[in-house]
Amino acid sequence: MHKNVLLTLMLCLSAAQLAAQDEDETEKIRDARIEFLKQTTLEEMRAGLRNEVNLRLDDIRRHLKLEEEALRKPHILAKGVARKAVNSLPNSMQKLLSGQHARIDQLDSFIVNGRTYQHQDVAGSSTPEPALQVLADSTKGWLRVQFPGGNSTVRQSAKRVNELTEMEFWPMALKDLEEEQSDQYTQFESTRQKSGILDGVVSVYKFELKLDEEQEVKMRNFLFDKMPDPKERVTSLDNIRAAIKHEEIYESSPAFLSEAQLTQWKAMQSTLGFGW
Amino acid sequence: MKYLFIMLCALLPALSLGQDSSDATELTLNEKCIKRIAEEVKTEISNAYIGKMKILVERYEDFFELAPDKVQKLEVLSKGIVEEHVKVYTHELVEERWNSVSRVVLGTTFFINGRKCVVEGEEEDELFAEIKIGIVGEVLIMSINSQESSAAMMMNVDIKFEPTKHPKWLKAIAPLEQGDLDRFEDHLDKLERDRILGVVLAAIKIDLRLSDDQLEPMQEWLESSVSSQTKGSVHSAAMKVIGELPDELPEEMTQAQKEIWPFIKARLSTR
Repeated sequence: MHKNVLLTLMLCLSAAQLAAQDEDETEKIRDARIEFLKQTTLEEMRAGLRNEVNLRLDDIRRHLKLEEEALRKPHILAKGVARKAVNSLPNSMQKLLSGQHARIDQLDSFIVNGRTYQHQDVAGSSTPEPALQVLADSTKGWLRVQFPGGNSTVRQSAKRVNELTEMEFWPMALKDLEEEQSDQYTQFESTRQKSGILDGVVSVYKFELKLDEEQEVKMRNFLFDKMPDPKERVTSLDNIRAAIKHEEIYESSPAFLSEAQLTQWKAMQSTLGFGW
Repeated sequence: MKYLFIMLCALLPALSLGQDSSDATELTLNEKCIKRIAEEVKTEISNAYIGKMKILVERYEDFFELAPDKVQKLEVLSKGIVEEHVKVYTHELVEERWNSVSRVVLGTTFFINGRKCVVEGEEEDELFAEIKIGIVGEVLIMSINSQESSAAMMMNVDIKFEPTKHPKWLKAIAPLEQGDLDRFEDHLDKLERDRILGVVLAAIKIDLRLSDDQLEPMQEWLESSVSSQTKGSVHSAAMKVIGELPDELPEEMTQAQKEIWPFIKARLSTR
């Protein structure tokens, strides 16, 4: 009798021990996954910001017709700002992933900015779907982790990156230029944004209203002052969409449109709430 | 006690009558709201389709070099087809979904596509519903939002509207043959594709900071790279097209642009 009780107790204990061991193992794997995810995302952020710095400086150099040497100091400054911005990211990542343990355990792969990575603990080379998706956009200051399925999106802006790129990056990069050059470039940048958005909007109107070449030019001029100011932290596509949906534009009727085009112009309001 | 019981019995029918009559008033008011909404829904859908049809007739006129009398005939006909179709849509949208709509419409004031409407003979009240009617591709969408946040709904009405396949339309455009019409469809598809490519090029132009001399090679590259479906909503079609573009940019782009492209691609194609 005593022997049986002892045996049962021992069996129970070893089962509990095994369960605890399993739990430890799961936790270890999970921690390793989170670490890998964090490191990959940070690498991607670093590369993104480095590319953005290069693109902007290259653009300044081309537009102001400067020698490469003239932008050496802004380049060093910008790189420093970028490094500072990225170093503040692990905390944001940790916040994004906390409370998502069960989901992390279930997902064998993740996608960062379109590139697929497989967790090292998963055997085989196939990439099971669906995967956790991370969008790390240093320029816009986005750090978004999206779990597959329904309403399970977790989003958080990496605020520090926003502040640094939008508020500190530009003045710093342009600090060493002459005031006139700096103003000239800032003005050029703002016109470029607006003109690019107009291109997109006019392309849609051209199709919907069947504009001829002359009307296309007139439409550009008509829209120029009525367009909303572009938003900094959204994509260029979002800015185009916002301009297309801008209610103020529809309050006045462009005089250069034909009767058929005007009917369509007014009717287009009904489409604006959806999809565009 | 006995009298009290008799009095109560006498009062009961009166109480229940009161209840009935209040229900009836509420229902009448709701009916009036729904009727008015149906009128406005009909107007909005008609305007949207008539606008589209007018432009479509112009496209036929240009493409097939139609004579003015033929164009006029098509204009009148398209109006008739729209009216006939809208009748069905309105019925489908409002009358058949009476229960859902009446659940949301609580007040005598509503907004339809931003336009304020008040139910005739009623006073404006603070409760209102906001209705939006839109046509995305071939799908008609209607959304109703009441001031009460719990009462919101959106309806997709998957009834295709293909006016150019209507027997009357086909008769009116005779002697055009199937081959001609197929060429015209291809022409429309190309225009629709150009529209999306225009939007995609604009977005890339902003993000990659393209210079004027880079626009042409970029446009050529886009045209040769895009093979996907470009119909439907502009924004989502543009996102899809960008997501399917190659990772390597044309050689006319700078090294800095080439290096940042995969990041921009990921940003623009992820919602």
